[in-house]
Formats: sequence, C-alpha cells, structure tokens
Amino acid sequence: MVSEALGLAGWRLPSLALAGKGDTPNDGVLEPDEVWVERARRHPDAFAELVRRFQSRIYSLTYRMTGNREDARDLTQDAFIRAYDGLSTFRPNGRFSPWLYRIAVNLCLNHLRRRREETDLGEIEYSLRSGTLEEVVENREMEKTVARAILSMPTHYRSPLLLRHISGLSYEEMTQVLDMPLGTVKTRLHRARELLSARLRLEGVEGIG
Amino acid sequence: MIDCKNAGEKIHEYLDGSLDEAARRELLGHVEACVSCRARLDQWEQAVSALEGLRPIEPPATMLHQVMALVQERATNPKLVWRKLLYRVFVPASAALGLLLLLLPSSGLLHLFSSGADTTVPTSDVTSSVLGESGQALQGLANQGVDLFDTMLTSGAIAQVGVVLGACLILLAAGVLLWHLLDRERTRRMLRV
Repeated sequence: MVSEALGLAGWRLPSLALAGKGDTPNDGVLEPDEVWVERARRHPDAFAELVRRFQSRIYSLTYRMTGNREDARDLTQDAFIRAYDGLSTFRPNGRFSPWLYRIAVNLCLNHLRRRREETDLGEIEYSLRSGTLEEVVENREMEKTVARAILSMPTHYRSPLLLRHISGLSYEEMTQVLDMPLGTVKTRLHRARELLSARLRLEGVEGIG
Repeated sequence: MIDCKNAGEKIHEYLDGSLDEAARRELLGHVEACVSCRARLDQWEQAVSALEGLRPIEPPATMLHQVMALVQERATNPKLVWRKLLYRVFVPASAALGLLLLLLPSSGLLHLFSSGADTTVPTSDVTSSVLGESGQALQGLANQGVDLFDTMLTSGAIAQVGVVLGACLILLAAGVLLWHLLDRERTRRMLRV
C-alpha cells in the first residue's frame, strides 16, 4: 500500500477517499495541520488532508465575501492551489490556517476589486434548516437579509467581520491574516458590527437572535 | 467610570468576551440605567448573533477532486516543475555565480590595470593593525585571487568563460524579465505565496 510506504498511517489516498468528506479526517486522530504541510511538501497526495480540513471553512468565507457560488468555488480552488505552490515558502514555525486564510482573503479582495464590488445580490444561496415550513421560510428570509447586509458593506469592513464571526478567528489570527496591527483590526471589526446592525435595522430586521 | 462616550468600546469588548468581571458588572450597571446604551448593546448583540447564525455553506462535492487533480498536475507537469526550478534554484544560483564572478577577479583586474606592478596585493600597515589576523587572512585570499586570475589569463580561459557566462546571465535575465512582463501576477505568485 502506497500510503503505508509513505508513512501516512491512518490516511487514505485521495482517489479512495474523496467523495462527501467533511472537515474532519477519517480516523478521528487530528494531527496538527503543520504536520500535513510537511508531508505535502514531500508527497503531493498528502495535501488532500489539508483540503479536506479547510474546504468548508474557506468556501464559506469566499462565498460570504462574494455572494456568488461560482466565484466562491473558483476562489477556494485558487486559494488551495496557491497554498500548494507556496508550501516551500511556508515558515516552519508558522501556522497553516492563518496563512491559508490570508491567501483566500487576498484573493477575494483582488477579485472584488476587479469586479468593482458588483456583488450579485440576486443569487444568494441559503442552507436549509430543519423545522416547520414557516420556520424554514422565515429563516431563509432572515439569512437573505443578513447576507445582503454583509455584501453591501465595504470590503475592508466585510473581511474582518467574516473572519471573526463566520470563520471564528481570534484577534491574533486576524492580525496575521489581514496584516494589520491589533488596534486597526479591532477598530474595523467594531465599526463593521455597528454598520451591520444599522443595515439590518434599515432592512427592518427586529428582534433577531 | 463608564459614560455613554466610552460605553461603545466597552460594549464591543463585552461582545468579544474580553471584559473582566468587574468591568462587565460596571458596564451592565450603566446599560441598565441608560436607554440609548441598552439599545446599542441589544442591536449589536443581535447583529452578531444573526451573523453567527448563518450556517456554513458546503462546497461542491467535487471540490477535493478538482483541487487534487490540479495539485497532481502541478506536481508532475515538467513545465511547471521546470518553472519552479527556474525561480527557486536557477535564478538564485545564477545571481550567486554572477556575484562570485564579480568579486573573484576584481582584485586581479586591479592588478591588470596596474601592469608591471608588484603581482601581490601589498600588505599595508594600516590593514594589519586595524584588521589584525582576519585582515591578513583576507589579504591572503586576495593574493590567491590574483594568482588564479594570472593563471587563467595566461591560458586565455577567463575570457572564454567570462563571455559564455555573461551571455548566459544576460539571456537568463532577459528571459525572466520577459516572462514577468507577460504575466506579473504569476511571478508574484511564484515568489511570494
């Protein structure tokens, strides 16, 4: 078995384990991402584990940044490919996740700059929640409103807001991803929350949460 | 003491969960008594919970397949491997070689221009006194460079090697420059990411 020969115990070759995988590895033993970075440097197949771990998170972020499924797919793919290309420049003591988020955020910002903020507010996708039909419809409407409010924000507010509240990054990680001092990150996030709140009120959203 | 002016910052810290117990109590005390700050807290809290209530959107099921297909292609495509080698090995190696070529015969070139002079680099008292042993060692290296240069000059090899390497470096620099001009984004990607 090739994976055994490569010392990849508990990991299967991507051709055998691709479909329908979530963000967790298949055997429950979660080795640090950086271990997989080291492996991927030597064996490209090992990069699959990093894709498996981060694809949902990066896709959610790119989707919320752009509001477009096609763009989100392309940007997510591009982020992973650039990360793979840059594995040799990845610092040994660095952490993989802020580095990957940084690539993804920069790609999104470049993409939006090129697209001149023409976010397609019409094509917003909503995940279904369980519950009665009324609840589902209500939740969909709510998500639609929130997604629209996010997309209507300037990108320099949108990115810290999403990194904090969608990706769940810490302030320290956000400073690395956004390459900004802590004070600037906090100021932008706080302003972004206020802006989102104001836009939701404009949309007539009351008593959310 | 919290007033409405600085309450905004404190509310954000409260939402981040970074307020200590005393500051938290102080803020909540102010908020209880102040209608406008109460409204701010409620609205911002609601906005955050609405945002965090958005469910993650799952990527297409084919995402992993597609990314890994591209990764495999990059790992095995000789063209891409060559590009990587070009940027990460060949260019730095050429730069180092070029620098060496500049440094090594420079002492010899000085000697060439002062034809008929002493073939060794003179040891000055100042050099010896200031640099001590390391200065003398450097002096020795410079003299070796002069000797090497003399030998190569006599055989005519240095001119040939110099011309060939110079041409290679110029061609390489031109190629890299052209490639960069054709697609700057790609160059940035190769060098930075």
